[in-house]
Amino acid sequence: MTGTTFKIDRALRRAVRATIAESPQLTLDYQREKRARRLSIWEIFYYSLAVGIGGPLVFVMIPLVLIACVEDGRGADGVLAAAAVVSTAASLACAQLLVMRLRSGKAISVLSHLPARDSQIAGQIRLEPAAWSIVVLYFSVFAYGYLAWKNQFGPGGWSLVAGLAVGQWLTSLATGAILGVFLPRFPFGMTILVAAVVGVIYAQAGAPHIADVLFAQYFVLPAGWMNAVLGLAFLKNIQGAWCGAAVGTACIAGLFVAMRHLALSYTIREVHFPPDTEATATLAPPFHEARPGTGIRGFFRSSREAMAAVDEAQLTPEQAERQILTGAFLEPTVWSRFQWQERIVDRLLTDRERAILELLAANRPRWSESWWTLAFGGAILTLISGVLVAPVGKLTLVYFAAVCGSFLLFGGGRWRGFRTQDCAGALIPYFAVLPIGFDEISRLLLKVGLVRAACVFVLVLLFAVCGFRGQIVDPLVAVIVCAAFASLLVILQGWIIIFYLSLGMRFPDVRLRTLAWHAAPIVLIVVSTFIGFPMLVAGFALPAGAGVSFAAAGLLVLALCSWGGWQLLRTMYLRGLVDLVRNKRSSWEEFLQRYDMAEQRRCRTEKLRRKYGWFWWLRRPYEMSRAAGHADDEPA
Amino acid sequence: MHIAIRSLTKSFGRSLALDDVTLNIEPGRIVAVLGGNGAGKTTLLRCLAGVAAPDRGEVLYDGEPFRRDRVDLRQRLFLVPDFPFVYSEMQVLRHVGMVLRLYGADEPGVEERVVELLRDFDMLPLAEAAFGTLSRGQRYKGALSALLAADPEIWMFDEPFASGMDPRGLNAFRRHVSDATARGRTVIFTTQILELAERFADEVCILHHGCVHACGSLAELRTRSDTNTEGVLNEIFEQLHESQP
Repeated sequence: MTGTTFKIDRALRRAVRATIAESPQLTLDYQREKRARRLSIWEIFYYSLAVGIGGPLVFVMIPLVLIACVEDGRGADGVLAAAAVVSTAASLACAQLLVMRLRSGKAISVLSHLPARDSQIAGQIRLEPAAWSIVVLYFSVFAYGYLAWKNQFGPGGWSLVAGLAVGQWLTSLATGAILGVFLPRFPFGMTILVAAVVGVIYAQAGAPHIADVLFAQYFVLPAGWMNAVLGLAFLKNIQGAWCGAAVGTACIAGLFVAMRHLALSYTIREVHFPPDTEATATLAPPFHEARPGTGIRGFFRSSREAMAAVDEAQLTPEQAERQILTGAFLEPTVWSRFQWQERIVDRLLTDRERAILELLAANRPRWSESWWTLAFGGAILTLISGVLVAPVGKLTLVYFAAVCGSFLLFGGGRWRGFRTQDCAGALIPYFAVLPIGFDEISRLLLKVGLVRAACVFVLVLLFAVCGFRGQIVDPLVAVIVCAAFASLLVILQGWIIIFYLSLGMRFPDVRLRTLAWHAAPIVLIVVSTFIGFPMLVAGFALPAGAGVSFAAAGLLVLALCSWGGWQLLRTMYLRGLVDLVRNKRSSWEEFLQRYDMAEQRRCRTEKLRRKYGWFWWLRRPYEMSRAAGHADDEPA
Repeated sequence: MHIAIRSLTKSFGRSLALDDVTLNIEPGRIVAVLGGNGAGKTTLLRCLAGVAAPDRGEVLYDGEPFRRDRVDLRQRLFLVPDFPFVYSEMQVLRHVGMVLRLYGADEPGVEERVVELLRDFDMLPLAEAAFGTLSRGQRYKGALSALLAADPEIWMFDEPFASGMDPRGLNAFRRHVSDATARGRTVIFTTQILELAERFADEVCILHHGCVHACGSLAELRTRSDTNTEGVLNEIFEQLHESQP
């Protein structure tokens, strides 16, 4: 199908160009449009610089340094285990992507309108996860290549390593395909999360039974089977380990079985186009998840159709009129007692700021909910660290909790108002068309950020003190670390405001005249990244006296950069140097949109829960059939 | 509110969307902005609403230079894009309340106006429905009701007659626009339907490749093109197409 598409595309291009060449006017217009699309000299310079310096730094140096560190601490087994974990995580992620794409996405919406068979659609859709799985090959080449270089392999050894890297990639691809096709309801995301937590715990010095764990990967993980050939058969001369290659090859054969099964079983029954989300298909089993007993993700996703029935409840005109005349719709949102963070923020806001908050957060901030999620996750981490791995240092766990906290802090509230919407061929953020000022937005975000930072500080402090109690580290250190963390969150508010506002902004083209505007943020980013953050990290790593000075200096540098960045964007905004119109969504916004879809599923589930109580999911089959027009299936 | 557009120029990369546009729009007029695809109609409305920032030139509202940070001026106008900006999870009534509060128009008595608007647009039964469950036309009517209830001095619409509204909704829209201009409101809209612009607008502004090709009342345009019949706009567009080098 891809080959056909390519041929058609090439034939069309030729035909169009021939037609254009016949008319001088069309040729002129075509050349003008082509010139408009051409990259400027500065953009070419910038991209060359990024690819020439940033590329090798990120994609070559950093993996090599990491592999060298792992090899130094854990030996060849450690490197291979790390490669196996990365491969397994990639397999799970590819399987998850395959299942997601088979159920919903742009490809479904486009391809379902074309005269293509479902098996052809499946064939096209599976290319995306397959392309992503190249990541495994990349990591395997580094890990195996490093070991080959370290152990001074000859040409034969290097050939084996190359073959094993390809084998590792194919095994990983096969694992992902088999899981995605035969177990589409497997909790992929949860497995990756658990692996990450376990990885954090076992990455620390002093983790118990680490050698056993590293050895177990050769048998437990499919990615470890190919590793066994290199790690056991080749490096340790255990001849039985060659079986790993045979098992891995059998797994690769499973890839073809899975693909054939996918082509035979993938059937699209209907494609829905829900507003603000990607097109979703109703599929034949096993890919259609709206069946009883499908796991927690299934509950969230399948409630979409059921919610349509809940939302479509209409009022009579008289009821609506009475309701409107009460004027309740003009009042700010009243937060429930469970939404305590929202209530605290609400007290600090003016009436106008409340209206702005309602627009920017789409009236669903969910800050308290995020806080509880962090509390729950942190409690589990503390429990794991206390019960399972008692001798493991706690500081890493506190950092881990802090990082999770920061993510929740930045992502936990849906600032939907900064997202863009397609509008007459361009993308415009929601807030752009309503009368709201830059300073008003900044003030609101700052107030919210301060309250949320304080709330996260309390939580992280609690974990830190609990985690450090009776351990070798002074609880005072924990308090100082948490205080520095909270200060960092406050300091970074400037960057957070910039981040959200710039999601829907188009910055001026780089010209000599506007070069100063471009140079300034680059200077700020460089200073904060290469001076502020390293100083802060050094402050945490160094002993108390020097550490506090370094951390304080780092925080000061970051604060200045954060304020400077905000001030710069403000000036650009007020002087009209930026547009609130974009041609293409930023990659950050694309990422946030995924989060949005998950959030929407959660909202629908919550509505159902409110309507039917905690056992709402028992009614789900009925709701589903009602949504599909089979009202007589109602349970007794 | 008097609108003066002075030498407005806007480009996106190397492509010139508006080229030295100069216009004057008196209060209480209905102005149709016409032009081919990519002529710069939507960009003009975006510049007037402060969504896009012009490269050169300025917009004056009642003689005051308009900048994006002039929230007081922005509260005196609104822009309804072809796909209105609403949250799919938000109820229509909640959206109306939010918009009214943002425009500072939540004064006592506005409730009756909201009821009247929702009734006119057949949206009363859907007042508590989430936007996500509505059709495109219903969404447009819900968003329109909110902004019409705010009733600022300048109303701007991008392709309102291609918004998916039903005939009853379109009639209500025309009626509200006529009433608004009688109250001194200025209405600017873009459209591709020339007959409609000819019948509905007081003034017409034709953009071509970002420049103002013709602007004025229909009578003036007829005089200029020596045509006394209906269909003058069609004739101008035909001439425009033929005169291309």
